[in-house]
Parts: sequence; C-alpha cells; structure tokens
Amino acid sequence: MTSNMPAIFMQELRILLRDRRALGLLLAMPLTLIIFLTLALQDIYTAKAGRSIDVALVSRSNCDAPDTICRQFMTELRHYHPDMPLLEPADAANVTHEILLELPPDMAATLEKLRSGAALVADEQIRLTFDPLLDQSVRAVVEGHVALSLQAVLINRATAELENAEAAFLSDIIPKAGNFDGLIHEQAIGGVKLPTPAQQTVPAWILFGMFFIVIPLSGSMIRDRRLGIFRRLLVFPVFRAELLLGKVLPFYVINLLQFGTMFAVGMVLLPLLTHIPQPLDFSILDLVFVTMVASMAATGYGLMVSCLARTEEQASAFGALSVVILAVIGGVMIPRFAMPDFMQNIAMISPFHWGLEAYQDVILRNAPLTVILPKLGVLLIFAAACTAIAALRFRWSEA
Amino acid sequence: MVRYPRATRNALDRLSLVIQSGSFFGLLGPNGAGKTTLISFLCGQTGGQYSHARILGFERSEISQYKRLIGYAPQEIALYPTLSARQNLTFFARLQNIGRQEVDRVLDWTGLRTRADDAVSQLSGGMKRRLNLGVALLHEPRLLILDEPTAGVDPLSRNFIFDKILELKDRGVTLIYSTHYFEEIRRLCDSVGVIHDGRLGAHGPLHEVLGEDMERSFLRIVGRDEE
Repeated sequence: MTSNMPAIFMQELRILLRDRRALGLLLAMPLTLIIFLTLALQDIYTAKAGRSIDVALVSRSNCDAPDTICRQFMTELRHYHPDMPLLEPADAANVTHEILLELPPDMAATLEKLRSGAALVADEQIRLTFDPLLDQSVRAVVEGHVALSLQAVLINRATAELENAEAAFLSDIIPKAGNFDGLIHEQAIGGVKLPTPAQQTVPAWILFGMFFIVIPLSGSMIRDRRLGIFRRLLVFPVFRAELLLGKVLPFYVINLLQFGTMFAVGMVLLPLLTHIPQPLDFSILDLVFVTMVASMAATGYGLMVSCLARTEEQASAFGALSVVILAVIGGVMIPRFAMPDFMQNIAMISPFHWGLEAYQDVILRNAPLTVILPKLGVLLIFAAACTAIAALRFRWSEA
Repeated sequence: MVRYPRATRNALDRLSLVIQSGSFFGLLGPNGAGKTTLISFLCGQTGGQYSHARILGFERSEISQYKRLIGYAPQEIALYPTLSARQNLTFFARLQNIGRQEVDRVLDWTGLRTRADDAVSQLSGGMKRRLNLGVALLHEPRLLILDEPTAGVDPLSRNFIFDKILELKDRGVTLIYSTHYFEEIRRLCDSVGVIHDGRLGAHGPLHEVLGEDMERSFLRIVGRDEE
C-alpha cells in the first residue's frame, strides 16, 4: 500500500483554499483585530511607563509651600510633568487636568498641624481632584509626592529654626539626602523597558486567530462524515491513520501560515506604517517552535470539537463561543495583570494563557528554552488531551 | 453479528449468505433493516462477530488485500461539492494509484465529459449519482457494491444508471445492489435476499423467491421471528 497521505493532504488544502469564508475567518478577522487594536491601544500601553502626568496645582495660600511643592514635583517627577502649572483658583475652573491639587486657603495652618500631629479639618486638607478614568497607580504616585513635598517643607522649616552648629550641618545634609538621582538602575527582564503595542497585542491576537481553525476544521470533518466521504475512503487502500493525518495536517499548515502572515503584518508592516519602532531582537527559532506547539493545541482542539459536535452548525457555534471564552479567560482581551488574583488563577485553565506566556517569554523577556518549555509542555498536554477525547468520540459516519 | 455502540439490539444477527461470483445480488429491505450495515461489514468499514466470512476468495480479516478489488458507491453523494467532477475523480484515482486515462474513461462512461470541469454542487441530482457511481468504477473492481444508487434520481437518470449497471454485469462484475424498491430488484437482479431487523429472510435466485409472492414471503418471515 503506497502512502496516500500527500494526495489526501493536497485535496484538503485545495478545498480549504477555495473556501473564502474560512480564509476570511482565519486571516482577515485576526489581521483586522491586530491592526486596529495595536493602533487603538498604543496610548494605553505607553501610558503605563512614559507619558507625562497632567497635574496642576491651585493655590490661594499665604506661605511658600506651593512653590516648594512645585519644585519637589519638578525634581522628583521631572520625567513625567516638566511643566506643572500653578493656577489661581479662578483659573482652575476653566481648565481640565487629569489631577488637580488644590491647596487649602491657610496652608501655614495645615503645615503647623502636620508638624504637631493634630487632625486636619476639611478646610485644612489638600484636595485632589482626578479624572475617574485615570489609572489608580498614577493617583497614588502623585499623592506620595505631595507627602514628600510637605515633608521637605517641614524639614526645611525645622532646620531654619535651629541655630546651633548641628543645624548648619543638617541644612547641608538634608537637601543632599533627598537627592536620589542614580540610586536605582532600572533594568527590564529581557531588556525591553517599555513593551510596544505590537509586542503586547500581536501574540495575543495571533493565538486567537490560530484557535479559530476550530471552525473550518470541525466543519470539514463533519461534512466528510455527513457526506459519506469517510465511509467511501475506508474502502480505498488507505490506512485510517494516514487518512486522518492527511485530513488534519493542512489545517496545521494553514495555522502556521496564519502565524507568518499575522506576524509579518503586526510586527513588521504595521510598525513601518505607524513609525513605531519594533525591535525584532529575539530568537525567531524559538518563536517558530512556540508557534508549532500552539498550533498543535489549536488543531487538537478543533479535532475534539469536530468529534463532539453532531452538525456543522453545532461545531461552528460551540467552536466560536468556546474560543472567545477561552481567550477572555486566558488574557487575550484583558491582560492578565489587570485581572484580580482569583481570575489570574482561573486563567491557567486556558491554553491561551500558556501560549501567551510562551510568546511573551520569547518576544519580551528573551527567555531561554528552559523557561519556555514548561509552558509548551502544558500546551502539549492540552493538545494530547483534546486528541484523546477526539479519538474516543470519533465516528467515521453518522450512521 | 454486528452491534453499534450504545445500541440496544444487534444491527445484524445470525446472518448466513452466499453470493455467487459474477451474479447480480439484490439486497431488499426497508429503511433501518440492516442493508447498509451488511455492506459496511463486507467493505471492512464495520467490525463484527462472525464464524466464517470469505469475500472474493479472501478471509474477512484480509480486508487490506481485497480492498482493491471492491468498488463501493455509498447511498450519500460522497463527493467534494466545491471541486469539479474531474478533480473528484482525479483525487480518488490517485488513492487507487491509477492514471488520468481512467478518469477520462469514467467521465465518458458516466456521460459527464462536457461537465467535467463544473463543480459537483452545480451538477443535477442525476449527474451527481452517476459521478458517485463512477468513482466506484475507477479501478475496475471485481465486486461492485451499490447502496441505494438511485435514491432521489429522476426516471431518465435512473434508466441511464440501470443500463450502465447491466453493462457491468455483462462484463462479469459481481454486483451487490441494495434498495428498498422491489421493481429495481425484479428488473436488474438474478438473486435476492430480503433483510429485516438485521436478519436475512428469504434469499436465493430471483425466480425462486419471487415465485412465492414477495409480499407474502416477507410477512411469513416476520411471523416466524415472532414465534
């Protein structure tokens, strides 16, 4: 018996390539998502570490605190807001800022109470008005710097009040002690300090697109079962294994082509068009390896759905819905870091989580294979489990 | 005996049958009687428990050796609808390791030469049936098994198929023809077996079985099972 797998493979590929709806689903849909989401989300991702925080200070105070606070902000947060305005109360109502710091009318009284540890009443508090859409961590940073500024004001006043030699010593030391420039050297894992939008979104949506192979794959399997093509082929001199392998392999190859296309558009073409630099200084070999394993998980899942569903409509509806749910759980649509702890744990049941982690290990962290392999192991177990379920439920015909 | 998973009764039970080489055997029975299951067993698609089964001189367990000698046309139009008639035939011919000239021969035989490059989905019901039959004939089998080959076919195409099948009979091909149309059996076959509830009732040469009046014979078999 000669090997008939190439003939079955080519036949299936020919049918698949003629199916414009399937190709549209597999390529156009994820490509559209990649292009739009990369462009739409670029501000959100850069906001995490790089854009300036729009803070304004309103003062009607009778002391030097506002100037000191501004100076403190300019020094400590100079990378973030080089141009923090100091507004009059009348002007504050006419402009919009992400954070508006409003000092109390009698700031001196507030400072005095802070020094003595007395409780502040409403009129003595600093009011912080913020945009409700602002990241909570940004608010915390600004609040921290207000506290630091006021500490500096209090220390300066205390040193000025001391008239002995130690005071002179302290007045010399304290300002210097507050200068922490160069204390911390920042270094991101893998050397990528600020991930680009493409690095964040492209792997996620590539995986999403790859898992949509479930629809054409299950549709094709169920169609062949319904039309009696499997039954007919069983009477041909064909091994059952080569029949199944020849049937599934084209979908695996399409999955890899899908990856290639989406990667090229998302990581090469899109950065060129948007002028957002996109470093490609990671191991392409590792990337291909991760893709091959992820594709096994995707085709294995498709095979399982094709054996559990009785009709093409069932497979299509269940396949699409389950992929979207797994993608949401796995962090494709909502990044895992934005999820609460219990959801982060639940994310681990989704193959998307492991696929995404493996991709980010390669693209962002430049991790060695030893770090990536356990994640790929989970994906392989997922693929094997799906294939085993498919084998148990497989039917050559509807009869 | 053949029983499908999760089924409550056997799909085939205590079946004993001899079909002479070169004969045209009709398998008659209502829907769900077990005709397709018997065909599946003969073709090696379905397993089962049996004491003795020889097909074309081979043991049933030697299915891989006699597969090449069997042609099978399922009751479904088991063709790829988006591909052309020629592409379908070429694919199935490749699996049989045979060349393009056989594809052309079958296109001529089925009368589809002028529609060879049309997608199967664009062909009429009768044309699809002819092509479905043609695929089974690509490798010129010694045993041709036809499972309800005229289902849903107009009278003109039905006659065309009958004429073609009788041509094969004249060439010495052994034919097993499953149907629930009594007229088809009477017109085509030289021997017949009546199957019901997975059991074979009256069977033998057509003139013997029909001589007893088919309908009464059928009723008598059911009555005997109930006794």
